[in-house]
Amino acid sequence: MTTPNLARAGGRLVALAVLALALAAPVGASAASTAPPADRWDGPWRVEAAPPPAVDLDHSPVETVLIYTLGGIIFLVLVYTARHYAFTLSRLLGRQRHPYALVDTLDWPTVTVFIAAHNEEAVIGSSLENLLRVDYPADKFRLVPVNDRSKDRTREIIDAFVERYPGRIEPFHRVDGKPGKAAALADAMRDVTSDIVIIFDADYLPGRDLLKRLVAPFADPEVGCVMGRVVPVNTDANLLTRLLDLERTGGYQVDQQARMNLGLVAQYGGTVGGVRRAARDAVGGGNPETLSEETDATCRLLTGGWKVAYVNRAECYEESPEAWPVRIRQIQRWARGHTDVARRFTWGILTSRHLSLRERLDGTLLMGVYAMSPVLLLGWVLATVLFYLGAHPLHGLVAALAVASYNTLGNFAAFFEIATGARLDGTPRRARLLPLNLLGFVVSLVATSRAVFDELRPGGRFVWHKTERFRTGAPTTPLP
Amino acid sequence: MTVLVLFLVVVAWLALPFVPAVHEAIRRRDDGALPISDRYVEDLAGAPAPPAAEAPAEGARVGGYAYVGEAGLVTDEVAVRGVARLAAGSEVLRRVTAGVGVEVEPGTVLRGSVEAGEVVWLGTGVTFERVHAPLVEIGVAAGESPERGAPTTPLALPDAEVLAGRALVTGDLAVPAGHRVEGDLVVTGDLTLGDGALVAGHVKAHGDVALAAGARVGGNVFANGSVGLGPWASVGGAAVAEGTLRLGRGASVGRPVAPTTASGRHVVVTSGARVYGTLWAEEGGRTVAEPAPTAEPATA
Repeated sequence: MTTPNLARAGGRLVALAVLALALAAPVGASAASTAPPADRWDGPWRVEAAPPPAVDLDHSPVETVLIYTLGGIIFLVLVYTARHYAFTLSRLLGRQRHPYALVDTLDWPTVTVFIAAHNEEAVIGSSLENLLRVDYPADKFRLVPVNDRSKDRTREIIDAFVERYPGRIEPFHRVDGKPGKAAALADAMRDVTSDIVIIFDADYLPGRDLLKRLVAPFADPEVGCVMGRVVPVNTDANLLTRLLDLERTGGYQVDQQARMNLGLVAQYGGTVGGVRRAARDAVGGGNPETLSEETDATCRLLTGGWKVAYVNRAECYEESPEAWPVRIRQIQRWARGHTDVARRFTWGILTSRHLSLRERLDGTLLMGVYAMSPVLLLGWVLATVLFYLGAHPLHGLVAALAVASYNTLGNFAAFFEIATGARLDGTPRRARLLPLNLLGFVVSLVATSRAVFDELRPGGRFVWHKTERFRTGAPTTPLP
Repeated sequence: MTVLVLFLVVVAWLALPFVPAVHEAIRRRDDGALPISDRYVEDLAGAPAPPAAEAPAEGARVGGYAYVGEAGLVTDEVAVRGVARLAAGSEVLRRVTAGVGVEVEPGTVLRGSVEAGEVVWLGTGVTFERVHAPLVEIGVAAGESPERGAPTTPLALPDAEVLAGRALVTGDLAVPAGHRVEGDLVVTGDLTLGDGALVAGHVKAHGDVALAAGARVGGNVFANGSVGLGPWASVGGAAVAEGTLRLGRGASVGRPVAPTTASGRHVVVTSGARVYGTLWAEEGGRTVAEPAPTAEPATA
């Protein structure tokens, strides 16, 4: 083997090492990605001018297709990267919009609060207890736990509360029908007459003022849907819950609030949020067929001329999954539901006359967030294949740089968002865990990719898995 | 060998961020659930008090009637069961609460929240953040509104799209004097109501909202820009501006039977205006004597 060949082989080894580590270490990899091309390296302290590598500029049609596909993927990832940076910088430096935060006195509208519950004996009591303590005019507030075919003590606990607080709780016990939260809520909402419908999952622990904070934006006649902030309550359980806490921080404190700041599309999450009944009726009511009724509702309201408001100060505790399999099933359910909605609504959002150009573009990107996981995986595969094919311009380190850039920058932008969220929350120390979020990222990437693939595959069927609860102790403990 | 050294250096470099991460994962120092805010007032208006020009007196906690100090007195908190009267030029850093009423003489600075069970009266030249009472009166009563006939001419909106009872208007909209609009109105530009005009429902404008003298909105008014109420203009529901909220002489927000919120990033209230409920300025509000701030379209 000649010296140039040795140098090239060594360079490729380094390139492969960088590539492998870029997949595994987004923060540090940005520094490595600034290294000069491997072909010109003979050591860390001496750079020699080496003859340019002989490259074949003529590609086979297959190579050409692969190269252009990879280019397209890199472009897409960079778009999402720029979006993440824009959101984070908006939170750090931009004007903050909290238009409804000061509305604390109103002629409050009538509200029905639904608690979706399927085998929730571990948590339903606490949720009811907290909702009975909220600060809202009693004559305008109706509390409806939706017991969806529970086989545990959920019904018994709900009925005990009904007996203990006569006239304050109107349970909806469902013993058959289509499974799933969307279907259960659609059944329960059939006879709703209140102005506003608020929805909580059974593991949520609302504070006293939460209801008013969530309802206040509905005084704005343009708002059809409101979303509050979800805060994990079991952060200290294990590493997974700590990582999920960071993800939540980035997602709500930065991502959602930035969309509010920038006049983009805030997302309704289906819990800790509500819908104006007139708006819901105007866009055809609920859709019991979807796995992601919240995204479905968001899209139908947006294209129907309504706005979604996010209220960062409407905070509510939730219980995060404490086991990886539970987390994987949860994110797969979200991914499948979201992909289904994206397939049906992306074009409608992109062409909606009720949305501004920026809302249409952001809404389209929002539709594609879960699809980006398989796209990213495809990009890695393509880059690796092209690397071994030696195809120009993805030759040697150029391939590694390309992979590192969209992997590193993409991840780094999201991690920057999380770190900023932790800082805004006044808990910067927990941001030290950030590099370990790579673990969550990889797990989510694979799980989401599989879910998206299953959803898009003809005949792919989904088996509903309820998110397992981990809370122990007294079942009726209110917030401290 | 060189490659191996380079490889190890790169690995070490990339592993560096994992050192504090693993340390934090093993020796936890920040793993509690985030505290969630549970009260409007403590969360927003009750933010930490700014440093005082002089050492604040202990919070005055008295019953019946309290006359809080002379000009220049800085106090942290005032709480009375009856009526509190704040002397001209005094300053309260955090909170004033009174079972019956609060009288605030001209030139007073009120940081934080002021609440009363019945009425708060603000003199002119007062700086405030949040004021809450069934009735908040500013300066000298404006007297009766000049007589105006009820607007009877319905305004046709041929270009508006009607969605679930709301009329969606693209661009600016001016409701001429003496005209009325039934139902809710969403305008993507500025909205101007002429003298004595009426919108019966709620209003939202992506730009500014300006109500000329005697104009009325039956429901809430929301604007991404500013909201200006001219003399004796009124809003039956909430008036919320992301920019500046200006209330002219005799203008009113809310109704005695339905207290509400008047808020903005900045709030300027002219003597003679009144608010039923909460008057809240995110970045500071002030009361002024004259002139009445606006019948002209407000430009943020």
